[in-house]
Amino acid sequence: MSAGGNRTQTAVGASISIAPLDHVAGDVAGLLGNFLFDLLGMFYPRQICSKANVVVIELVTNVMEHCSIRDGALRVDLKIDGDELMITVANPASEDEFKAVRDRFTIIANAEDPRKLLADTVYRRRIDKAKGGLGLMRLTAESKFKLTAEYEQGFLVVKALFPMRGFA
Amino acid sequence: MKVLTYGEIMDGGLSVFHSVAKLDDHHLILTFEGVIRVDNPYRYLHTYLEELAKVLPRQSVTETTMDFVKMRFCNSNGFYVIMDIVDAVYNLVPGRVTVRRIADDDWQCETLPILLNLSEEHIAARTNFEDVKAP
Repeated sequence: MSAGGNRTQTAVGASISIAPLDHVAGDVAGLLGNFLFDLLGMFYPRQICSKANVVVIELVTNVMEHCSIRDGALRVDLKIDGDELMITVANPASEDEFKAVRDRFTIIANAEDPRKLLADTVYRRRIDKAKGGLGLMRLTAESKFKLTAEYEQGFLVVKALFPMRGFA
Repeated sequence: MKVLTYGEIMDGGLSVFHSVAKLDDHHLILTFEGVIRVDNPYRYLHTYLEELAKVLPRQSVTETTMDFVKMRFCNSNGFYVIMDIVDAVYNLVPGRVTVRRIADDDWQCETLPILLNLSEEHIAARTNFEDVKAP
């Protein structure tokens, strides 16, 4: 191993595709999240690795629980360097499904205090144990990701961006 | 040290999470270890919650430690079950509650306080954190 250089400037990229989604029988979200956690652990502090782990698990779990087009592909892309951590998760979706997700993203993105939004939502929904959107809220409130959702050629593409300032 | 009760989540034939309630003299200790990532954690932990409701009121407890240091991950599916376990402690035993957590862990420093319901003054007044380095 080279002794020189700043390891937290290391550029790492990973792209994983699984198709069809219907063939997934186990905890694919956990497997991918833990793999990327371990991989990034060679170069980056635990806190950064945990952010990647959480975002992959929450976004891939969303796909596995809500994607209705089960003969399509799941794509996960990770890029990290000294400037930013970017994770992209894409799955086939109808335009109506995309619009529903985009509306949810708009609420989260417009929240003045993402942590308060998460707290209020958790307390409100606790009575009937409703889920829906808690995972996305935690990514902004807890992990400080900037989330965007786009519709590209029949795919819902969710991007989670974390600026690396202060870590690299 | 006396084990009062415990709960466990199995996934794919493996134990992925367990919580143990122990009594050391008058000190109640709840440990949380592993990850909660399954779709419906209540399926595995409802008996544990029922047991906590039964055994905790019968104990003479003066202080409690809830130790999350070895709980590496909790996805959003696990939020409510953690809240129910924590509520059992705050509602059923008196005294100070020390929450052990990892100092630089996002979920334990940002979301866990929400699940503890620290916005309630009477809970916040009983609670202090012990921040430790990641094991």
